[in-house]
Amino acid sequence: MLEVVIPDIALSLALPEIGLAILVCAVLILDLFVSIENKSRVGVVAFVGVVILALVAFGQWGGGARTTFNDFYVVDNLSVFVKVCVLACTAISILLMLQYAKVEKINYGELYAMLLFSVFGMLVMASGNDLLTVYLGLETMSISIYVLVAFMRHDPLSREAGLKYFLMGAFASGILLYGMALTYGFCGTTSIRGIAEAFAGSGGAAIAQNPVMIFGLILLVAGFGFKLALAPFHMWLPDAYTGAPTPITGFMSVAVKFATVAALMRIFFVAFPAMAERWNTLLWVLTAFTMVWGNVAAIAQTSLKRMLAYSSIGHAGYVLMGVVVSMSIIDGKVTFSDIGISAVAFYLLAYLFTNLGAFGMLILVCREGYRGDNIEDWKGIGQAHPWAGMAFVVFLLSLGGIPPTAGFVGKLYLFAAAVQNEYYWLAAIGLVMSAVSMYYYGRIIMVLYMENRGETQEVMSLSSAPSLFFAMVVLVVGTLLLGIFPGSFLDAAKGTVAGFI
Amino acid sequence: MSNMPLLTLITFLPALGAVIIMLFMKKEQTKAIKGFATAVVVLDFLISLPLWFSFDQSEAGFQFVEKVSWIPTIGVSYFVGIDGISVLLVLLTTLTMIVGVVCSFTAIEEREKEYYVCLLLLATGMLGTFIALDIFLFYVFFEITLVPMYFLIGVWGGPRKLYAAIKFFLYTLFGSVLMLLGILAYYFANFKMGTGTLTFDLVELYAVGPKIPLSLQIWIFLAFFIGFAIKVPMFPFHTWLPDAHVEAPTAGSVILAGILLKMGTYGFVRFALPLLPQASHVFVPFMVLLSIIGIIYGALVAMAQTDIKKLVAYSSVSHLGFVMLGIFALNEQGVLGGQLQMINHGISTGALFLLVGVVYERRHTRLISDYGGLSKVVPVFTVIFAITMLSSIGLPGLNGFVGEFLILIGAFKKSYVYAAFAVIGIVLGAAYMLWLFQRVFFGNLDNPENEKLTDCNAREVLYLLPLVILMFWIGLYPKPFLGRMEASVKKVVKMVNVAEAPQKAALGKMTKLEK
Repeated sequence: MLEVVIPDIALSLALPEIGLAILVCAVLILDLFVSIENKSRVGVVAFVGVVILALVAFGQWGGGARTTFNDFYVVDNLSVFVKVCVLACTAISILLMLQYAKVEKINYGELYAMLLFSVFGMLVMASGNDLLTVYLGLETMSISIYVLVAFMRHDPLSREAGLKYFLMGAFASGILLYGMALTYGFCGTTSIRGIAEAFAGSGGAAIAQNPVMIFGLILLVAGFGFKLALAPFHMWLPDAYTGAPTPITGFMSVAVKFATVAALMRIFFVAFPAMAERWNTLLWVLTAFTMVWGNVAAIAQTSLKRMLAYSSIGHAGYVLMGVVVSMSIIDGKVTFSDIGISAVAFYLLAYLFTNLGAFGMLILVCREGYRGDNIEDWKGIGQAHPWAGMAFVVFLLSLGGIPPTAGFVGKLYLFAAAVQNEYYWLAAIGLVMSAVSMYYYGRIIMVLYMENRGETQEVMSLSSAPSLFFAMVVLVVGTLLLGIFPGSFLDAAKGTVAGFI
Repeated sequence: MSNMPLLTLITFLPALGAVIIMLFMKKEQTKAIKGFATAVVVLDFLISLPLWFSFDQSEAGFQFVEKVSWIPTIGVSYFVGIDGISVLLVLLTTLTMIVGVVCSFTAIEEREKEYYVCLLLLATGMLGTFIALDIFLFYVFFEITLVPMYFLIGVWGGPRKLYAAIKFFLYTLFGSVLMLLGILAYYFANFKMGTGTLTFDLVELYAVGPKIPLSLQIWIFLAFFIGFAIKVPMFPFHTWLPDAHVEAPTAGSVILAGILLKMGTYGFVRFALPLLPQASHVFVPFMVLLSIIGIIYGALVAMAQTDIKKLVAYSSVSHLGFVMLGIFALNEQGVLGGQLQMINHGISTGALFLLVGVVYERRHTRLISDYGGLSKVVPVFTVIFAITMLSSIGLPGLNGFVGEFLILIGAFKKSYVYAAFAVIGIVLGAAYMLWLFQRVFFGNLDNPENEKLTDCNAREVLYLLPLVILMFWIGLYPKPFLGRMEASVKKVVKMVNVAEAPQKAALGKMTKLEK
């Protein structure tokens, strides 16, 4: 007789995801009843919902690692941290979106629905305790974002960006899945803890040496490399970021990093410590290459959005540096240091405020038929709009890692992790590159304040939408707060380690 | 001392002033802004005076200390205080800020609001750098100064301001990020080999210095060296300096020469020597070599300049070579002389830049060949310039002499070869300065435009006067200055020589045995 066992599922652990699923449905249904001029209301509903869900997710903080859905799903401090940040990022992105969508004539309910779908994927990735869960989350996220990137249907750039991102992304997903398949082939399980046990068990050492398994690991690294746009897998990013609607660009640059890095850390730290030296070396090279490439290529850009796109490649390099330097070998045993993981978490948080702010500046000047995308367009803005100019300077200094901003503390913490585990060369490369990055960030400051406006230049006016204003204030305050009083945020970042390793 | 957080007050008052200007003053109210900025810096100077009067000369350690936990997670505290090494620099800064603000009244005619905001923010950054006793805090202030200075050069600078501004910013940033690497390495070295705690607290770290293995010390020293040497700037990292000086507005040059460069030399005395005693000894020949090259090279290049401001800029390279030579003599006289020379250089080079600014405002040229015979039309200006020039040369009776003399004694004690080379620098220094003076002030009044030149007005005399008084004061009676520095300098020298002490003792025994 077939025995049916109903597993004990703690649904409450998945409350944010369940709530989000309900919110998406509500948004889709609401969309039917709202006239085309009032679609912003859909956005407002989405915003309120996301804020509530962020609080719900925050409520799960602490209490160690709890698994559910038959070990497919885990809630620990890392996943909670990522979820809260992703939801916060989403909320701010919606605020940035409300006015922009009207200006660019993309104010449809689907916009918000797709955004929430992608967030759903991210939350699942953050909690994925099984390669399959992670993969499902990743695909949900990616597919929604392909659509979002191509959302400005009337704009050929956006369509091209969407298609490019879709083709490269699908390719990357394939690579990642192949890597997962090979892992399953050797370990006989897709559970992240199960893989670690397989490596630790008898014969595990042999598996770790098997060339095909190593090939699988390389595929995993490459797959994540594509998703995070690490050089040399970054080719899609400048086009995709430039073509996408600006709030979506900002959202992608932050939220996708959060979710992907969380999944990457969980898989590599928990499942693959047995092969740590191998993936660590691979990632070391990718990180160094990414930091150099992103920052050097950004120098040559004339489009502000494209420059920020390249700079976000550089920042992906910094984040990954935190992942790389977390690993150290003490007495022949692989260990992962707290400071590295918390540095990654804090850096991402700092990056959330800073980078959304930088893209927010582009949204601020956006009006019908004018995007202010050329750096030269910003000449003299520091004088014409002093507060906006100062906000921009704060974001740029933070991106460059100059005190007293979030970016400085973030970088300091990252480099501290690198130095602690004796990754001196990587730290040196990163530090020198952050000085290089100040060249192109400094150039924007120069254009803002030190170059005079041409006679014929179109006047740049700022949007007066209150939602946008509120979002920008939050971002500036956040950037400065994290820079001047980072204490409690650092503690939170440190808390992510609990129950994870 | 009372419980008043005096240092915090001094440091953040200018920033507060900047915020008030930003928020409450309209950019058209230029008079009000100037008046308010002046009031802020004067008040700041006045409240910094207790540092001079209440300073305990016999105390080698830190005074006026304030300590509040700031980021406990990584062991950062808001820890400030001063000792003999920093007290005069703080006072020099508050004084220079008054000069900087007052000399800009007529020189800066556009975007005054932003200008004074930048100046005041810069003051906070510089003061913070000198009072910070937590390396993290120090680094934060050290970096913050870059931003307002970048704006000062980039917005109100000369024709090549953009180039000069970004060069200044990137050059110094490049150095300071590598220094950060060194700071972090030290932070963890202390964790592993020292107190076992994660702390940036300088007083705790001082105790750890000698325990760190030499190989690591050397690496950290190199990192510190790059950061500070670029700031000083030592040869061969000096190339940003002439550009920055020439393009910066007068106040920018004065502050740059007077204060910002001292952050580099101060960094060596405060951090590199006591934290890395053994490595400091290892690097003595190297540092001395670079200093001497700087002294002679700076002087020779200064001699070849056709632009007065550029000449003064290169003379800074030479003078700071002296300071570095004194510091790396690693004995009492040398470090004391280096310390005093920092102040002297701030006063005399600051004054020289001010004087250049005065004529530039009238004639809009800085080419030496455009001048000649000025002594006939502008007597007051000529007298002040002459005093300043002689102070810069190091004429006995003026401040430069005392500092250079001490440095030479220090260098001589280390090796007479060092001193011999340094003396060449003094001779060259006299040569380029006197030659400059001759070309600008003597000879015939060939250029008709110079005939209309007006002499210094009351405001200009007023802001130059304190500097001239200081030149005489330090030159004739340096005791109050040296006295305030002595105890702390002795302590630093003792700390840096702690590693050598056993060796010397052993040597002493041997010589006794021989006898």
